[in-house]
Amino acid sequence: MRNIFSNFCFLIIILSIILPLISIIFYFDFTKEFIFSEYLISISFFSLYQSILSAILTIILGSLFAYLLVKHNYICGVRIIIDSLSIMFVLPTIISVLGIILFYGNIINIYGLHGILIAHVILNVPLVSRVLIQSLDDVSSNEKSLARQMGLNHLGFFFASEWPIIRKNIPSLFVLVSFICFVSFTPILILGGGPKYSTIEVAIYQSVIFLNNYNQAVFLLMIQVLICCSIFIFFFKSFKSNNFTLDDRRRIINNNSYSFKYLFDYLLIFTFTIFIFSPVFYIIITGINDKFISVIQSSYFFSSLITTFIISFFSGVLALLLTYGNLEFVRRSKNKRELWFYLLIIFSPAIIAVGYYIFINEFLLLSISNIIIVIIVNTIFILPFSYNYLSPSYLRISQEHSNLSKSINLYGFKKLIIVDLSRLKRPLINTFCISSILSSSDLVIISFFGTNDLSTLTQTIYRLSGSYRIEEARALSLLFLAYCLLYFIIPKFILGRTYKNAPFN
Amino acid sequence: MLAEETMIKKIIIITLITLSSHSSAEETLTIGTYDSFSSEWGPGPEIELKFEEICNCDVQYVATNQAGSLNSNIFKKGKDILLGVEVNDFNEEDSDYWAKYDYGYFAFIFNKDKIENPPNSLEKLMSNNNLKIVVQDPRTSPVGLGLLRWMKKIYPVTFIEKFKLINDQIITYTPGWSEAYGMFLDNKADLVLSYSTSPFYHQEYENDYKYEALIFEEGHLITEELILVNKNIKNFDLAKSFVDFMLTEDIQKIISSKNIMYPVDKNAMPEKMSQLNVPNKLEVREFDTEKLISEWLKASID
Repeated sequence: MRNIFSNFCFLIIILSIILPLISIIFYFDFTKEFIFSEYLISISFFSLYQSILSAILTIILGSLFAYLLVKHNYICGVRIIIDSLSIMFVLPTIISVLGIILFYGNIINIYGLHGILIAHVILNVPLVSRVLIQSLDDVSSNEKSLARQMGLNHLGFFFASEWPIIRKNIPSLFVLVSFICFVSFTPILILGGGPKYSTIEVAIYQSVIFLNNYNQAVFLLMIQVLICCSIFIFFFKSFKSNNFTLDDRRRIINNNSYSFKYLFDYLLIFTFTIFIFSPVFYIIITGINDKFISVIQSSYFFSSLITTFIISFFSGVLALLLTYGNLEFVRRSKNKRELWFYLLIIFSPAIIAVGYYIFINEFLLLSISNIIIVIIVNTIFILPFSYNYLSPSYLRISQEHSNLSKSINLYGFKKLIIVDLSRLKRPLINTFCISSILSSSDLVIISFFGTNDLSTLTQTIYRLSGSYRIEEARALSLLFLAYCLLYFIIPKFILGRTYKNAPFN
Repeated sequence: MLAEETMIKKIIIITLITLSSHSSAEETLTIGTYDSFSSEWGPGPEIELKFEEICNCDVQYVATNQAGSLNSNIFKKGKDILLGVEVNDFNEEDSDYWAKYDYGYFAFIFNKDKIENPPNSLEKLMSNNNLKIVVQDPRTSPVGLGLLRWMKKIYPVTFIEKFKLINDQIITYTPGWSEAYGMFLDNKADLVLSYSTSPFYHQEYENDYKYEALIFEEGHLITEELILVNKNIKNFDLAKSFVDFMLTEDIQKIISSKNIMYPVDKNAMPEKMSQLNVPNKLEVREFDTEKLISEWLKASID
């Protein structure tokens, strides 16, 4: 039973990539030649260059930020920052990018390679920091008191205890961030300042959507996959599944207290926070405007809110199920199968969406309601992230319980419900929230399968700003931000009540 | 627990309602268009209602926000009518019945309060060198592509050299029109590439007269949108009557005031729109888009 379920889940992942590709290849013209022009060579090189540079910067800054936050987590404000980091990762990119322009545009000339790097750092530091914070929390109190007894200073403790944890996480985080930056689209276009800085993804989008040249799109995708797989192989030599240790299980409050000697640290935390959360300030400042009240009362707000909720809720549930099923699989065959999850990131959303559009309109004889299609395709896109959030906790907890469950012959969902659930509840709900909100910030899939009656908040924001209604769009962005916050807070609140009574914790 | 159950029930009911929202009217007219046309604040819904009053049919819009997809074979399939195709992208062999329903001119918009002595020719704009311009990327936006066609029309031979001059003032290229226009309204740019009718929106709906279009001596490229009936469809007569309906004065009024473009029927022009400066018309046919883009790449990368 367990085998069937997890194999089934794995099959879905493979199919979800292969189906749209086959559909696109159906439109493939084999007589056409692909010309690898100078422009394509230069954008391939630039894609690789900026993604590696962005990943290095993001990891350095993200590690530093995580280290500082963990060191000073006795401050209430710092704990709030830690909790709200995830929000930054799930905001629609276009909103974040406009925020970055508004915030930094007045200070420096933001356009160019440095603009791209700033955006990528701001967009990805929250992800890196959150992963590292959870890992650093695993440094036990015993270890800390031992360090104190040995008279290690902060630097000594850092190198003895914290640095090895950060280092262990670097390869996997590096691959993740470089993949995300490799396929970056909106930040590259807007902040690049010109075609000099373009990625393969821009060329893919151009050929698949604008020129309807599927030949070129498929070739470009192959180049993209080839380069990304090389990054993966190059950096994952030391990869182990449990590298990601993102788990809410423990939080050790440091025994430090406010002190003047930390003034520099506080300043750094403050600067980092402003740096990373600047898009949020933008949303709040521009969102409170004359149109705010009329937007709340509008019918489009209410209907898109409901659609967004339905799509995000069900995508979240589906993603959770699939991720859970696949984790069972990954755990048993601990090898490079995880590559499939990462492939989902680098397979261009434009190609996958067009592929599904062809598949559904031409090959699928059943008529499926658009909302179901949006939910399913969204689920596929958020899987890599659901996986990253759930896998560490799952792998550790499941390993700890494996002997117990084997001895009483419990597998699959029974094992989940009887043994694992009490401790997995928190990571499961966190993963669910992240996945859900990620799916609600999507703009590509909904643009292919949405209709007038089926429009999400993100799409409505985009439509409003495409019809001169910038003020309304901003007010709605603020409401979207509020929606994301509530989506994070409400489950935590419900969980907070039951969590206290749960065993094993 | 009880609260959770009712919550789940509610979700299921809402889902079912959303899923079953296919209405079952007589004959269906499926119109593929851009979502700026079909959305709540576009002209689409009002036109739909008015047409349904007289046609005994059900009008359904299938919208896309992806520029260029209106012409793709995969999008065309299953649509009776395509609405919003740019004349330059249209091939007369594709349709037996079609009509232009609105038009506009590409133009740069500026804020009167911020810029004194705005350039009155493209030549002057290029030699100006201290204006920050935001435009759309021609690889992803038809408006951005419009700028290339426009400049190629004015400078057929020296396009690359001339574009280099304007490129020095372009701070960035955005994926679509809305990002560029948003940046402009945020005061992140002095000029934005849009349509000469854009100021009409601010005048009509916001009572704001500070935005104006730069009018160039060299003339402005016209962009015309058309509606076409796809070939080999079952309800050709119905589709044909919708195309005719789009050209009636009433509907033309709705189109011009909500699509912010000039109506083809002059009688339907809103008053404030008729007071805007009208540029000299430049027209182009058949540019090799890919070649134009590669020339642009040369001009803006070196």
